Amino acid sequence: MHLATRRSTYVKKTPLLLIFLLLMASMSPKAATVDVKGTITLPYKGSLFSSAPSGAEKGGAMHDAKLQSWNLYTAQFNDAKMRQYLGVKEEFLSQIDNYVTNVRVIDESVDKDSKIITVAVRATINETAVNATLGAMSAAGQQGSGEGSLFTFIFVAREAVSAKTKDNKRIDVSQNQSASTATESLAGSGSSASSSSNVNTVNKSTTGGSTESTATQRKYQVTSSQDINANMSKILSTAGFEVVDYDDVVDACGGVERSVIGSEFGAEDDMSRSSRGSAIGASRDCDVTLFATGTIDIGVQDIDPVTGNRRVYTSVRAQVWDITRRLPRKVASVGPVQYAGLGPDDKVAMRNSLALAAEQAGREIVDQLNAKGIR
Amino acid sequence: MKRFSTAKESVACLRDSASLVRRQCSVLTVFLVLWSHGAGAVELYYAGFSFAGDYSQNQTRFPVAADLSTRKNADGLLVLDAALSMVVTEDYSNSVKLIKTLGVQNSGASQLSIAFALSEESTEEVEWGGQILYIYRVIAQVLVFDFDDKKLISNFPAMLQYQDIVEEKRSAEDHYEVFERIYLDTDAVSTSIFREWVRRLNSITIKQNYSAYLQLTDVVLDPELKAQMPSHLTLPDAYASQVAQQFEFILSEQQEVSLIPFTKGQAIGKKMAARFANGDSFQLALPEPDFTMTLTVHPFKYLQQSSTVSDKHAFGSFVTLAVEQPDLNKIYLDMRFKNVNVAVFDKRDETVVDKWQSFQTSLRSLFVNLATQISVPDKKLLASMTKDKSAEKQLKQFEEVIKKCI
Repeated sequence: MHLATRRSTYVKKTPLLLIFLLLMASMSPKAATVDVKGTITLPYKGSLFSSAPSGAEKGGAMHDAKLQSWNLYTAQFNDAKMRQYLGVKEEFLSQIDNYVTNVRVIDESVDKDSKIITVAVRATINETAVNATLGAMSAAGQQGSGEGSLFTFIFVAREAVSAKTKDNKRIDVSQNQSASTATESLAGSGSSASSSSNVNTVNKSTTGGSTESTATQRKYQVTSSQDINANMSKILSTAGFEVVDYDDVVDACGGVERSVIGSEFGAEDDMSRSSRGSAIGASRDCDVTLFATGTIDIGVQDIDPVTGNRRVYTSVRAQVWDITRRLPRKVASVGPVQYAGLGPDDKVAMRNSLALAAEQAGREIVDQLNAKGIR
Repeated sequence: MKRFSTAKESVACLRDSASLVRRQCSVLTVFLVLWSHGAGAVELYYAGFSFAGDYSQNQTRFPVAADLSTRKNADGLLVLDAALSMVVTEDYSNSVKLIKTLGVQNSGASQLSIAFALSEESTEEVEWGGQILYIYRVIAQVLVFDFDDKKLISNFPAMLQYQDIVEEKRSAEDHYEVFERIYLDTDAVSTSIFREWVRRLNSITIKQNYSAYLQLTDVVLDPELKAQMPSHLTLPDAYASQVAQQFEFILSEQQEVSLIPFTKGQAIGKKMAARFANGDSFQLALPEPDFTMTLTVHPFKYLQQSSTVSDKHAFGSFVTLAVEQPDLNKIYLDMRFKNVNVAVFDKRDETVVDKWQSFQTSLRSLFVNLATQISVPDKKLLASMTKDKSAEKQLKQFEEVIKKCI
């Protein structure tokens, strides 16, 4: 039954997909491409009248060069993306000409004695096509509009406004010991005798103790998360997930307000247990299956010596839970990872940094969910 | 609700579904490839004036241009941008369509962009027969880059050298005025760097992509040469960069080849920073070179012959140029070349020559000869440059390398 349903869905979706792709084709933007360089070393047989490689052997070397370039490119995938790729590797390899384009032979070196040909090549990888195909072949990407998992998230951007560190508490313990030793000697001469004694005192001091350190307590000012939401939503939606605004969850199914969660993240590094329970419960009541929280901490601000722009660092941390069952299961975790944003002033640099952090965190989340086949 | 009666039927349906997914993915892939390649004629977006290299070094490397970069004219436009823009409007004649009014911006669409990238502003002071010779040099790159991907597509150096012989030593203010004229006096066609840059831009072939890239990756100075260097060139790296930029300019212009810029001490992680006069800045990714050049500069030699009526001075310059494919360890050219410039002066003039400056002139002549011999070998000239019998063959191999990078 499940198979029949899925098949009919694909059949229904094909015209829509074609229309979508035709629309994209008409927009005709440029692909993001990556150049890859590599060398291929292959043995060859040569022919009866020539010790040089034949045209067919050189053609075979070109195909190997293409595969080698592809392998060099895919070796740079992160763990999650690699897991997803390995599941559909054959699909890519069977259409490698569509992904590895413009293979150029830079030069070749032929060792006629050992009959080995080495070819240096530069190939262009159509990264847009690779990412789009991976996305389309992922479990989430194969959902039609309205069929993907409902995904809601609460991301808080915050900036440290105070950091309180208590002085280290040192407890010293000392113990003093003293000991005396006496020696007495007697000397006699005729009828008289005299005695003398020496007393030596030894002091021993032992010190010790412990130092008690306390963690720095930080207070944060929570700033607008609109840019984060927009960037995160863009990545998740493109990957096939159905993004639901958390405020809509609260409206429809109750749950703790976003502002309460924001103020909790302003004081602590995590939300309270009751707030988390309330947010997850309400989301579950609204049929949301994936729930994510995260913080993006705005850090050091300085001038980038290379570009001369203002530079703001942010640190992102995120977790995603599958909340379909009674006990939420963590299905993706990101960071903490630092990103730097540049801009002509602090404000622009900060927004760029937040947008970059949100986008990269979103991509990492999508890669991890795709790798697990979560749709 | 359909139920499968047999395992065979179930497997067949599975196969159908898988086949459908594959077909759908094939359709998707074909369209993505067509979509992403987006055919069309090459168009260039004008990005304006920029500084090449780290912002933190701008005041040191280009003191006058860095100062001028904040100055605005009566219309509120930045003077450097305004002067360059005017020259581009007046002189641009390359066959590639230049879109000048929009500027570059994040559009998500293909934007092959072009910028004036200033890479050197320097002054040399040389004692010359009781007078002082000043050499003012400005080098700028015709930087073609992909704005969206922030990567370098091609690079062609342009150079303006202006010399002045004066009786008295010049002050910093005097030098400032000369450079200000080089940048802003665009009516003086022969001494305007912007006119020279556009002339260079008009002469090049602009392409969306290149098959291979060539780069001068190292300039090695012989230890004996370092001992010959005058005291004002205290940093050998600075002289190496100067030699590199002159060699790049001459080779690129003679052979019309794009070169990845020589970036000793400037680029980090194969990136080159570009900061525009309007404050925009970004780092361009430099392609990895497919072919590398290494230039070794050997000690200069000087000879003098005097007769009753004249003094004859000979200034010899010597370099070894090696061209290699680094992945294959294949050497195309590895040869020592020389050039001797001869100057004859009337003995009555009692001319005092500046050896170092004459060596530099000899070196530049050597670069010009070498760059022309690659494609138009002259047996007589080549024989005077090297004794190696394989010179013509090796230069031919170098020419083949250059052809792959054009």
